This record gives sequence, structure tokens and C-alpha cells, in this order.
Amino acid sequence: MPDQGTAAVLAGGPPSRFTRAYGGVIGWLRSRTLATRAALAILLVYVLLGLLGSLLVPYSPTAFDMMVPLNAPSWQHFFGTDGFGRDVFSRVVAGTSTILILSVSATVWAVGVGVSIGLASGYRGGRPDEFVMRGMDVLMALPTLLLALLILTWLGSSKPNLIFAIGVVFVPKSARVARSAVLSLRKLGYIEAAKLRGDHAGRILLFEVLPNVRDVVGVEFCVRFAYSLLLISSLGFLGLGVQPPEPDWGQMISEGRNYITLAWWIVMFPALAIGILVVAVNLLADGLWQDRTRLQSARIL
Amino acid sequence: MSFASFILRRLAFLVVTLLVVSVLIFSLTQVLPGDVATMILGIMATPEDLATLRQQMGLGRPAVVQYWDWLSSFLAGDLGISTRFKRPVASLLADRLVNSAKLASAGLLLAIPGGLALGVIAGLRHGRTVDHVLSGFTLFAAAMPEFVTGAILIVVLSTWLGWFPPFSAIEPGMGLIDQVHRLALPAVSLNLVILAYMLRMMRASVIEVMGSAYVHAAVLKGLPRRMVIFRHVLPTALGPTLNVIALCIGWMAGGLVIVESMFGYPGLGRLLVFAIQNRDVPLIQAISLVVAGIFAFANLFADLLHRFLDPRTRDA
Repeated sequence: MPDQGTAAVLAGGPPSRFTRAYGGVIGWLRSRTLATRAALAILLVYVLLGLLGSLLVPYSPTAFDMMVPLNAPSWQHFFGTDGFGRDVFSRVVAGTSTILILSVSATVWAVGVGVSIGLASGYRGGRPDEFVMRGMDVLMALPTLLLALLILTWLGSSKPNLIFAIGVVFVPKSARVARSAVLSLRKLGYIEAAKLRGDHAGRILLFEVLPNVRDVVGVEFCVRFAYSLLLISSLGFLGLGVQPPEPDWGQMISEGRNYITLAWWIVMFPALAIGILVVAVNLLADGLWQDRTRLQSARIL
Repeated sequence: MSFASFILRRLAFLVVTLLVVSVLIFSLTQVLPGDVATMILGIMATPEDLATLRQQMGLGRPAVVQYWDWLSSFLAGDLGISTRFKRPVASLLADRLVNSAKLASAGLLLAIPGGLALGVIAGLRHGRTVDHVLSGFTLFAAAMPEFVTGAILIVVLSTWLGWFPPFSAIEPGMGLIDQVHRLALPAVSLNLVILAYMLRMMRASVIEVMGSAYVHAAVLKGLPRRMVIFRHVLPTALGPTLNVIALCIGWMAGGLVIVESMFGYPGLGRLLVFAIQNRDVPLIQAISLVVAGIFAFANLFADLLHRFLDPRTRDA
């Protein structure tokens, strides 16, 4: 059921001055479910922390202070200190920008390449398509984490390699999603029309196909982003992700693991930071998907 | 296409996939920085010793020949010698594989029936409170990475409440109760995601099947509700969900690596991390190939089961 916001947008009711100025964003936001809006708010907080984190932290996230090892959370150290006396709060906040930048870059390249391959392959069809998709199947024949581990063992761990590895792991999945989206469009009238008009394939893909699969790509981006977050922090946890001394949530959890019976806070706060972020991204992906089906049915009606 | 020829085609596809994967694994690991001979003999070895060992191991030969040797001895059951443990990889793997299987099955026994049952309940009560509660739960459970679930479980149930041990190393002579006690936390962290996925899938397909014409027909011709659900809804609704089980087993391969590291559990995943940290090439290759094999067979099994259960795909 479309709520009032959606209904107004769909009905194209008379816009006030305010909605004319901000209608796009506000209308979009109002037509979202509460869960989607909450997810966006949480993500906004993370982005702000990522951008302004270095101004907010009370201590250096990497400086050892052997006078205060394993201090419990207090007003001096909100989240306590770790085995080297580093401030856990500062490290959690400083880790925000690292993981956001890494996951966004990895997702952009994985979804960008994957969607391009999927669209081109699905649009072309026939033998080449078959060949490309079998290649993608082989890449998917290894479990995600295993493939990422092997690539990073081969290349060595650094940020560019991390982004590259995650891209390789996720490209086939994005390609599959994009391919199945384009298959349903291929025989439609406007594509045929563009072909008859003499447009070349690249132009059709860019101006006819891509705009019509943008919902799918948007949801795919969110889903991949959530998986990238998981994979990057998991690799950090296994010691093949972000390398010390730079703070990373996964790596903090594996370091804190040794102190877990003495100092729960070293593990708990980065764990919550990852957990809340991943749940928010999943909520957003879910919400976008539901809105898509809902708006589609509204359009048909 | 008959069922038999379908199986044959899928088996052929599986063999080809595994071959390509083995090439991938071999080429990724064989070009690792660091020389295998140096790793075995240590940095104090003389150049002559190194040269002899390289000669013995055939490291100077073309990659294709090395690959063929590796694959053929692998298929003959000779997985090589671990450079770090100085023991045959096969015997190392066997112990760890049993441990991992124990952990995985302990969790799956909980997650699959649990997920299916809860999914059916949510699906049949679509839109009511039970459904909302369960759907809310899956949203959190499916999103959490295993080490986060694990960390939170350890802190709450072990550090704060002291109900479970914080590490889960199991020793050979342990009693069953002790083993279950140790396995509980890692098994739950490993399978929470899977439980959530099963629930989600089962719910979605129950809702879909309940809305289909043939179920309406069954209801309208006066079949009792129990009969409609067990005879007509569940077998069809199970199909897509069983495919998810295979995906879950693949997911589990990654999950095991994480959970075993988190809980210090002596399984295959932890061995892999150890092998990677020590650049133990034969061990990395063997574990990767074994995991890929298990993954491929899980996928095959799910396909076959799906085809077997859903009459539409069987007769098509």
C-alpha cells in the first residue's frame, strides 16, 4: 500500500513553493518506510563520524600509554583502553573512515565492473554470453572468503589489494544480477526501436538499458556494500585486512580477543560498531527493494 | 531430460569446474612471494642445499608439469608434505576435517530444522505479530558477521555470566556433554546467519505457494488444512529453500574460518589461517581444493534434491 507521500507524488498533486524547491528529496524521503529512514539516519551518523572523526577523538588512536592499560570505560576513556593503553573510543571512531572508504571503493569497482560485464554480456547474448557467464561461475565456485584470502595471500595485504580482491570476489555476483535484469528488457519495444534507429550497442546500453535497471543496480549496490563491510572486517579480523597500527574494527576484535575475560570493552565496542552499521545497510537495501516493488505495483495500478 | 542424464550432465559440469578451480588455486599459490625451499630449510641453509632440495622437489620445471604432478598425486591421495608441520598434509587434514564437520553439523542440526519450522510458522501467519517478530529477528541475525556474534556471545555468556568457556578447544578424550558445552557458542555464532536465511527463504516461499492457484484449488475442493499444508504447500516451498542450504554450506566454509579463529577451535578453517600466515603452500592448496570440492558437491546435491522435490522441474 502506498502511504500518503507516495500517493501524493504519484498523483502529482499541486506542489507548494517548498515542495517545488525541495520536493525531489523530501518526496523521496517521505515515500520511504520508517525503517529505511532510520537506516539512512544511522548511515548519516557514520558518515559524519568518518568525516569529522579526527576532530572529535579525545586521544590519538595509535599512541601507546602504558600508564593506563586495560582501563574499564570511564569518563576519561568512554570505551576504556586496550592492552597498550590506547583509547578504544578514539580507535573505534578513527576506524570509521577507514572501513567506509575501503568498502565504498570496493563496492564501486565491483558493482561498476560487474554490472558493465553483466549488461554487455546479457545484451549480446549467444555464445560470448555463455562463455563469459561460465567464467563467472568458476569464480563463484570458491567460497567468497576463501577466494579473497587466496588473492590476498598471493598479492600481500595493502589497501589497494584489499579493494582489488573484494572486487574480484563480487564482480561475478553483480554481473549475474545485471545480466538477469537486462535479459527481461532485451526484447522490449523501445530497445528494438533504438536498434532500428541504428544506435550502436554501447549507446543503447548506456541510454536505454542502464536507466531502466537503475533500481536493480541501486539495490545491488547496497547489498554488495553490506557484504564488503562484512568481508573487509572479517579479513581485518583474520589479519589480512587493514594492517596495524591503523585502527580497524575487525583487527581490534582479534587483538582484544586475548583479553576478553579481563577487558570485554576492547571487543564489545568495535563489535557493536560493525553490527549497527551492517544492520543499517541491510535495512536500507531491504527498504529500497520493497519500495521498488511497491512503486512498481502502484505504477501499474 | 531424464533424471539420470540430468545427473550425468551436472556431474560433468562439476568435474570441469573443479579442474578450473584447481588451476586457479595452483596458480594463485604457486607464485607466492618467498621460496618454498627456503621455507623448508630455513634462512640458514646453504645455497647448495637449497639447490638440491629445489631439484628434488622439481621446482625448476615448467608450471604446467608442476601442476600436472600436483594434481595427479592429489587425486592419488598424496597431498604433499606440510612445509611448516613437516608432516603429510593428508593426516593433518583428516583430524581437522572431522573437527570442522562436528562443529558444522552441530550447528546445522539446529539451524536447518529450526529455520524451516520458524519460516513455515511465519509464512502461515503472514502479516501477524509472530511474523513481524520473526522477520525483525532475521534482519539482525542475517546481517551480523560471525565474529561479531561470537564476540558478543563470549562477552555476555562467558565473561559476564560465566556459563560457557571463552575458548572452545576440544581434546580427543573429552566426554560428549563437555564437547557439546564447548561447541555451543561457536555453533550458534556459525549458524545464526544460516538459521536466519532459512527462515527468510522458507517464509517467502510458503507465502508464495499459499497464494498459488493449485493451493486455492486444494482448499476449495475441501481438503483439510493439515493435508493442504503437508501434501501440497511444503514439498513445493522446500525447493528454493534447499538451494539456500547449499549456499549456506558454501557460506559456512567462510564462517568456519572466522568462528574457529574466534573460539580457538582446532578445525580446518583455523588450519587454513595458520597455513596462510606461515605460507605453507601444500597445506593452503590442499585445504582450498578440499573446501572447493565440498562446496561443489553441496551445490550439486541441492540441485538434485530441488529437481527431485519439485514435480514441475522433474517432468519438464
